[in-house]
Amino acid sequence: MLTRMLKKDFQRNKIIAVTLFLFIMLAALSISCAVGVITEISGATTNLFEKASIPHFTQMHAGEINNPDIDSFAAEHGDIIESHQTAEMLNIDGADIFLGNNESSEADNIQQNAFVKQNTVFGFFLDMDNQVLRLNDGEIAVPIYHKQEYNLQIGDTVRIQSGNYSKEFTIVSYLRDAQMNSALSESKRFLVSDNDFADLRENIGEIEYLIEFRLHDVNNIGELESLYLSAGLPQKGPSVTYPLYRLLNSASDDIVAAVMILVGVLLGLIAALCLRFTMIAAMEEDYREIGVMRAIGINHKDIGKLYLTKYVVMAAAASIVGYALSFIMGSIFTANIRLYMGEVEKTVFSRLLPMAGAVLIFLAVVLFCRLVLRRFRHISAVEAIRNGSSSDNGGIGRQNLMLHKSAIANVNVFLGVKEVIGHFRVYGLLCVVFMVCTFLIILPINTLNTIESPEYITYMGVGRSDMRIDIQRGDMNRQYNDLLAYLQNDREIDKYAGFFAGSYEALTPDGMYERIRIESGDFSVFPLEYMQGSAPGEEGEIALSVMNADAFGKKIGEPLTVLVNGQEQNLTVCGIYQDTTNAGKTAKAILPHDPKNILWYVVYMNIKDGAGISAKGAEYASAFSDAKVNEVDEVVRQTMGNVIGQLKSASIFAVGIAVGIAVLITAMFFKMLTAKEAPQIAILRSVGFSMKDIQVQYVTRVMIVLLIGIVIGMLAAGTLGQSMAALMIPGASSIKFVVGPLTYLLCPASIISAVIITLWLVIAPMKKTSGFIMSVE
Amino acid sequence: MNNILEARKLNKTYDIGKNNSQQVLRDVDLDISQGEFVLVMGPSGSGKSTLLYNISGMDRMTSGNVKFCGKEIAKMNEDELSKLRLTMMGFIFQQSSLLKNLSIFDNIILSAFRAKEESRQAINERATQLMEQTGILELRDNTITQASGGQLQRAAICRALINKPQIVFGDEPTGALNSKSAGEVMDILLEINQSGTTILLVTHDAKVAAKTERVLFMSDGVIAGEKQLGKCSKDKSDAKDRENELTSWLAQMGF
Repeated sequence: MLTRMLKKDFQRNKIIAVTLFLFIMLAALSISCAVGVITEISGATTNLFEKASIPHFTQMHAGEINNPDIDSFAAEHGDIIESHQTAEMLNIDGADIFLGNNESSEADNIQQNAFVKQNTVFGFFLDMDNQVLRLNDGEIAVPIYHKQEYNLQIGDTVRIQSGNYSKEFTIVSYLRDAQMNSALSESKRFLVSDNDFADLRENIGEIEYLIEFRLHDVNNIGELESLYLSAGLPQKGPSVTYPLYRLLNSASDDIVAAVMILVGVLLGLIAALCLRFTMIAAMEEDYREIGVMRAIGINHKDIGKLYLTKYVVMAAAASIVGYALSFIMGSIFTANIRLYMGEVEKTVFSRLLPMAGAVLIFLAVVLFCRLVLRRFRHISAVEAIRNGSSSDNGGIGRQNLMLHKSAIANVNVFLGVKEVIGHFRVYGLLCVVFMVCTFLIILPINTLNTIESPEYITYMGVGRSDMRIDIQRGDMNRQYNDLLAYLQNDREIDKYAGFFAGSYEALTPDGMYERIRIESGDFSVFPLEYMQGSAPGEEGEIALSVMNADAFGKKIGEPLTVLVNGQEQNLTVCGIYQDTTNAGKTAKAILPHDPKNILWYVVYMNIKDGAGISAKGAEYASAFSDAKVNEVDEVVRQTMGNVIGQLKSASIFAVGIAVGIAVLITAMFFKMLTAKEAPQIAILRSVGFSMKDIQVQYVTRVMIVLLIGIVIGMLAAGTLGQSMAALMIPGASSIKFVVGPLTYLLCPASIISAVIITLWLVIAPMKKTSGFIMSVE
Repeated sequence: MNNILEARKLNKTYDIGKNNSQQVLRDVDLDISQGEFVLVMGPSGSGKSTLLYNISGMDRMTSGNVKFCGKEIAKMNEDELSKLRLTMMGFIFQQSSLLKNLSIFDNIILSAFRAKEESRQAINERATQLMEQTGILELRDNTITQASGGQLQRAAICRALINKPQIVFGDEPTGALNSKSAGEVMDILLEINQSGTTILLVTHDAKVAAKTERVLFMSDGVIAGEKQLGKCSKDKSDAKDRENELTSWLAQMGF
């Protein structure tokens, strides 16, 4: 009986049934996939970290080191430190590295390339099976990032060449580096054998130390960090903690999961709105029958069940299909995770969680149906049998808009406008859908445009400039002074500003000193847009990145106690800015130059019009071989490369989904509407309105709601969307979209054309003459 | 007198399921002169309404030839047929068939505003005059739920006449009305006919039919007989005589 009923209903309203099924299925699919991605990230990260035995706290240090000091520190704090090691990392200039068959070196790559040997205690480098790598002499394992970026194959070579020194390695494996896998991490490590490492160390590069600790309890990281700082151990470099490693590894996939959850929720909402419209339309269609059933004593709950069963079966089937499809689709979205972190064995838990997502969608649909079906209570048997329809007499505003008083010259346009105004609650649904579709298209495209734009550099904590030169090794003070002198005499340089970064300690709200890296210099040359306040203009002021402001619990005007040369200084917080670099934790101030406390120097410059940036870059790269010269646009592109890639996929996905939704909803909505309005259409045709006239009326209706929806959608994307984009990009708390020149033209155009074509396809079959007389009667 | 409408060998067959068809009109020949008031009667299923819709171009005939004002409607495309209905024909159905989202006045002027053959002001004036003539002027700004069936049918007549059509087709226009309202509607139609508009009605009601000058009787898809009653006067005894004459003729025809 039920099968027969469902079959008949499906045959009667094929488009509607298919559309509803698709929406529920896609919602279940998106949520299941998102939950799957999150489960996979969590599982894969844990697995990778376990296999690699990742350190819980790493202090990088570029400079001299005294290992016995560290050993005694570790011994002293054996209650929290489980084990420790000091690993060596050999930074080799990109200009000396030649990957695969590339003729050119890696001089243009902003990633810092370092060579390492396998650790013995923990922090292991793994192969693609997550096994600890063991290499023979002459062999090398390259980071996955490089494999992807340069399409490096097993058997390819990596050549190191500097002056007379040359060494060639054969790639035997790709390297999963749990600590520096992510594109967001600035350094990438190559693994070689112990002998090769010793050879390289002797001939080339700069050694940087990684002082690493594993703790008995991960929760003691904060305590260890303060103990380490107060012990005065080496700290010329950034420190990274276990939670940050987790964040860095999952950031780009987290964005994918967040977008999918958003899409899933939106699809669920649209499915609910469609269901409401479909159910109300079905009730109107069966109004008289419902009246008869009520009249012969059938309870409204029982009548409701007849309708509910249909939607419960549909929702269940759609959720099951959505969940099943998530196995196939999920593997596409988790490919990146599997590549960078390895396969995780599927557990019952990892299967059940995505299913919970689908079940959630199913339950939401059923609950919503029950809410809509409460309308049955209000149907009067007498009214239903007598009228055969609900007492809809044209909707609100019917008296306000009169044809004989209207200024609208075209009767068809008038009828379209009047219908939309009269039934705005019904058309509101379409309006919301078009709004959501516009939002869905514009948000990722705007985010992508913003990240790809040259202005994005301001979210990386620096003002807009053409080029930057980083001095991080060798005799940094001498190089810096030489560079400034060179710049002074270069007539092709428009302006420049040099900064030095030092490591200091600042007082946290809980009374402990925490390390803070502060950049000093003249911040007025390349002004940065501050979220609050402004750049430090005099000594005694400090500007903090958003994450540091949070970490130190500071607002504008409040003092921050910083230890400068062992002396406590109260610096007033004068500005808060966004920074997505260095894990978002940076600061700017005007502090005295202490050549002993220099982590790095960086110089930003603008080149005069007419002089080529690339040529200038090459000139400085050869003049200052130990410095790292980069075009700023390239820095953004490479740092954000992975995020840009993910966003591009998300944008294509969003455009597809949004246009798909718009098409399906338009088809479903107008199919139901034309069926419902068949008698009215027939009346119009009988008095001489042609099919073209009727079509103009429908196009008018859809254009009104489309335009309203698109305008609101664009406004929402520009306001709410900006806040959402800021949430997705770690370290950026407020983003101002950079809008592409065609975004606000092409995006609406794509929806408008899709909707109009769909509407045309739906109303075109109404052309047949015969049949419309029946409807009049 | 000139024929406004000529039908020759008109056939209409409907497909009813797989390999089944039903012929509703069989080689119907019909001439209607300018200014005539013609009525079609017959039992249910005899093809009355089908005849009306096929000769008016609302439905496509299966074969045959219909000329309206000298033009062959079978050769017209959908747009030409729509224009024909808009400017030269008026229709009245059993139910008033007005649009529910427009006021009664707007329903009446709708097709004239679409045709744009007169100024909006002239159309408004004409609609007001028609409403006054049919006695529904006080319903001008009412919605269709705020009027009785008889009033709505009068509004439908106003709408049918707004573009000054050559011919008005009516499919049981009094079928859903009580006898008083039906009589009033027929009086209005007679008045319109007297002012020169050709009228072709389909009805079951002999009392209504007795008011017309020519009655056609349809049976099994053919015009089985025709009765000329002559012009109707306002004399009540004359009306009774015409009704009796028609009833006995219909009885002879087996109705």
